[in-house]
Amino acid sequence: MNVERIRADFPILTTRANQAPLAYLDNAATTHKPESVLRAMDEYYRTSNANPHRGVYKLSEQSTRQMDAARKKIAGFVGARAEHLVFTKNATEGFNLAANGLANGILQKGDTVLATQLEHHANFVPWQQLAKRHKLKFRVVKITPNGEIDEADLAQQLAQKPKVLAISMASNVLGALTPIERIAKMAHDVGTVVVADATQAVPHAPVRLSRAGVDFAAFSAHKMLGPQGIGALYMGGHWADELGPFLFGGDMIDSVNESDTVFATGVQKFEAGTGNPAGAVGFAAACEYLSRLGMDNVRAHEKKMRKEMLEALSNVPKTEIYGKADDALAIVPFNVSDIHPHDVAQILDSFNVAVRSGNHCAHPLFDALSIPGSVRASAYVYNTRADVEQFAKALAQVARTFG
Amino acid sequence: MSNELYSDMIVEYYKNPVNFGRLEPFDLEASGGNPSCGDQVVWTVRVHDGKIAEILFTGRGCAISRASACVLSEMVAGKTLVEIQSLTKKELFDALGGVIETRIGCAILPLATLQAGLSEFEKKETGPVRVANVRV
Repeated sequence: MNVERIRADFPILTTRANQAPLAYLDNAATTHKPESVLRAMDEYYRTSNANPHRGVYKLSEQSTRQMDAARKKIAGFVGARAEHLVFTKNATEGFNLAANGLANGILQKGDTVLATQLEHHANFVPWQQLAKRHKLKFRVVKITPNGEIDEADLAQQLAQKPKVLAISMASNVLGALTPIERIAKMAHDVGTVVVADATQAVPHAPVRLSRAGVDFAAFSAHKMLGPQGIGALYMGGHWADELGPFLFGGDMIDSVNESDTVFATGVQKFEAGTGNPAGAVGFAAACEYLSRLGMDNVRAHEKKMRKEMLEALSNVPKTEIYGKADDALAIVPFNVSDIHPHDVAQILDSFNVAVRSGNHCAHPLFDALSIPGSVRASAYVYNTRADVEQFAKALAQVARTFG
Repeated sequence: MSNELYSDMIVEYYKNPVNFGRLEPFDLEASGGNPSCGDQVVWTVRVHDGKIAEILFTGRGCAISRASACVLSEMVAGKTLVEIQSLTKKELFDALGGVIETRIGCAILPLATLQAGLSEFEKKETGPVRVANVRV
């Protein structure tokens, strides 16, 4: 993988501030877009732009074909079939779709829904609130001091036969990969539906959702070089037929009269209203870009980046790094002494190094770790050793300022 | 690589905060926080003749919120409660040497917490008064 060549594909990475190039290390939050993705979306609006499925004229037909092709490409990228992929606004909407769909007929009062301490709020809050509204029991699987799913606790919770397990495939804070195949099997053995958060897994590792054994999996385009405003929800098996719709309106119907509506079949049932065809086209272009790089190469590059970031941090006195799973993604949460993460991030910003500070939409995780927040540095395909060197230089200034 | 935000004053207040601690007994205890970033401030105040007689603060927070609490504690010493309620954000930010937009929340927290606390204090006939969970 030629990272310098890759970097040249990303226009935003040529911006400079304070005479320093942008060392963007906040990829777990959102990622930048290569020229091919930008061009695909721009071209869509210039030459296709029409509501898919609605008209018999050429533009609409073209738009429909592009959206179908995009769906197929994205599904293929995650080892799924197009008829199992619903377009959403983002992963969060996907989790809400699954939660509401399951509540409409499959979950009964008194049933248990299980989430974990690792979850991003997107795959935690919908279930917690669903449980409140529908009088379900909401339980949370603990993590080990290492920041991994406590499988003994998981086994104990599964023995209570919960109806749903909401689980992260890769932590957006600690970077640790969940052994999803094993856990999905444990869950299925007791009849539990598995709703997986694939938002960090899909961009950073080779993922085959049909083989992971999950029932549902949500991910977002913007975390994987695609645009904001579009995501996907994978629905395995017969779920698209079994689940009720979440959003109602045009496009998700077969016929409507004054007394009732017959819904569309398949994934169309879950795509109400005018969607985001330009976003879908951009999303597909992002998958194409990553396919060409090869996800094994992406993973290997990120392993290197993780090693380099950890090394840079090891040279900063009084630094604590959380979650030291060996095989983790290039997502590194840390604190420097008792300096507030905002202050660390601010000084890094003055060196044009972008990192995140706070609790990364994972309050329960930070409560479980007993820390109020952290800095988080996360790398992706376009990060270089020079970025990490800039990161190291900025960290040295943190130590000098507050030391 | 400039660090205008972290002036010598801010760093000094961070390392050696003034008026840091808790008053026991107190007339008013006001605590506030910003859950999204973890900043917290707890003021304890003694009031005499409608003026601040003594004031201390504790809490965990970023350098900006800590410096802001320090500066504010110095600004309000001996002032009447009415004067403190009319203290503006601008006056506080000026005393801090300016605050960049992304850190305004950090700088406001001590002011908002103290003013909310004093507001409750003035409504009550007898003390001590405790105000918790002030949010910016």
